[in-house]
Amino acid sequence: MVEFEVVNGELRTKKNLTQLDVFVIDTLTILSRFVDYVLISGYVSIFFGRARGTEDVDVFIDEISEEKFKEFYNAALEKGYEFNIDNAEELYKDYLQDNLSVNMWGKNLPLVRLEIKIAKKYSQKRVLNERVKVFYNGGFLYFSPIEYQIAYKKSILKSEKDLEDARHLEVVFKNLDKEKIEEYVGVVLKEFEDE
Amino acid sequence: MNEREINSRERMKYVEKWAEFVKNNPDEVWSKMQKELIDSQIENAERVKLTKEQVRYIKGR
Repeated sequence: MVEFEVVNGELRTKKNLTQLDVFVIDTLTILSRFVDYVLISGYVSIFFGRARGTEDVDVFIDEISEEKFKEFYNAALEKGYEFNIDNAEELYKDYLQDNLSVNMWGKNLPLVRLEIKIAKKYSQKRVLNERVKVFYNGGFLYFSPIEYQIAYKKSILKSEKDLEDARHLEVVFKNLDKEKIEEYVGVVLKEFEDE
Repeated sequence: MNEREINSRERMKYVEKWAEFVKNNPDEVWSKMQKELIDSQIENAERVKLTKEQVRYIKGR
């Protein structure tokens, strides 16, 4: 019996890492040297066992200066990654600051991308602040609160895939905070209506 | 219930069945199976060898 459970903002697991996991770990090892991040969306369900792959791994990051972003960009290039466009300044100004995602992928693996966005909305900043530290094998990653994922997927996204992702999390996690899910639903629905 | 709704219901049943398997088996067991599935998808994608321009086209920007 191995239900996942978050205790005091942390969770521990030991799993066979997929190539997708290795990609995520490698890219976030670089990113985390420059800015705080939180993993969101489909990869959250996948890391915790969902039987599907993905082409996009989404993260929110904290506000970042152009200088820091350029340092991150150069560090990623050195490690063999590339981006939407080959210009760090344009990426920062025309993508990141314009609420578009900066995509990062390995030169030989363009179909699996890390999609980076700045947390702008209240709910996004809150997810970043309430991120869960997940220890796997020898390292750790920061994930969104599971309750937020369930709330967002069931109340905003609502595609078949998203509803399945949410259901998977509801089954494999124990002691999920139902009141917190309802609260997140209220927050994200209000943000959605205000847009 | 139309065909699409029936398909959705059947897919959700499978999702729940797999989630129960994950819940009731050690991490090493389910993650080995998951690894086989996901790694094979990635290996297929690697064979495609899309260019950066093609990826941008797919993404619409």
